[in-house]
Amino acid sequence: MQIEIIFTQEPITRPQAWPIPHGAETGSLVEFYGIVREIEGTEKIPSLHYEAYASMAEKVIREKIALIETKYPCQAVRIVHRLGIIPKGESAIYVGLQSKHRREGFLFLQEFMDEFKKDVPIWKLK
Amino acid sequence: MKVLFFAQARQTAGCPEYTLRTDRPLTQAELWASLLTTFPNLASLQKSTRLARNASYLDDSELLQPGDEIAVIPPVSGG
Repeated sequence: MQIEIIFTQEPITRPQAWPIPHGAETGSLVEFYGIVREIEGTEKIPSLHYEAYASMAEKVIREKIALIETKYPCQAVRIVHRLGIIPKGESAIYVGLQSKHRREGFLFLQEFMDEFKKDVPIWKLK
Repeated sequence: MKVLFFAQARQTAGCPEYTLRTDRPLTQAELWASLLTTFPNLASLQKSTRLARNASYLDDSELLQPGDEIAVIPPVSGG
């Protein structure tokens, strides 16, 4: 499986996301953007500050992918996480998954994000 | 032994890292005892915080070696 993990201080925009894949066996591209909510509970938030222990974050992400891939084989994954100050309405994370069929792409993404939020050493601070 | 503080741990300790001088392996309890001597406010985070050794989460009984990079990891919230 092809894996790309990118940490950036810059906004996550379409050019960083994938173009439509052209692999001969690719039949599905599932994409997820996690966005900084303006309203958290009852509080209005102008921005969040994200920080990471980047070397460990990449290692943990690769371990998670290796485990999930055994259940839901996919062809390629790209993960972009923005760090630093992220204004409301902008994306903190992008995950793109290429697979033969949509089912494994959706299931991989769901489990990956659940695991990501449990163990990957990245924090959002107000 | 280098100890890195992240997020709330960094804010509470007031610095991003700390060098703990030791010439022998430490248990996790010994590490915490030493950290709390220097940074008593970290006590409020100890229960919710995990430790990592050389970029991997620690098992409960794992010892910390003098050359290790230790990270104090509060509950994560990325994504």
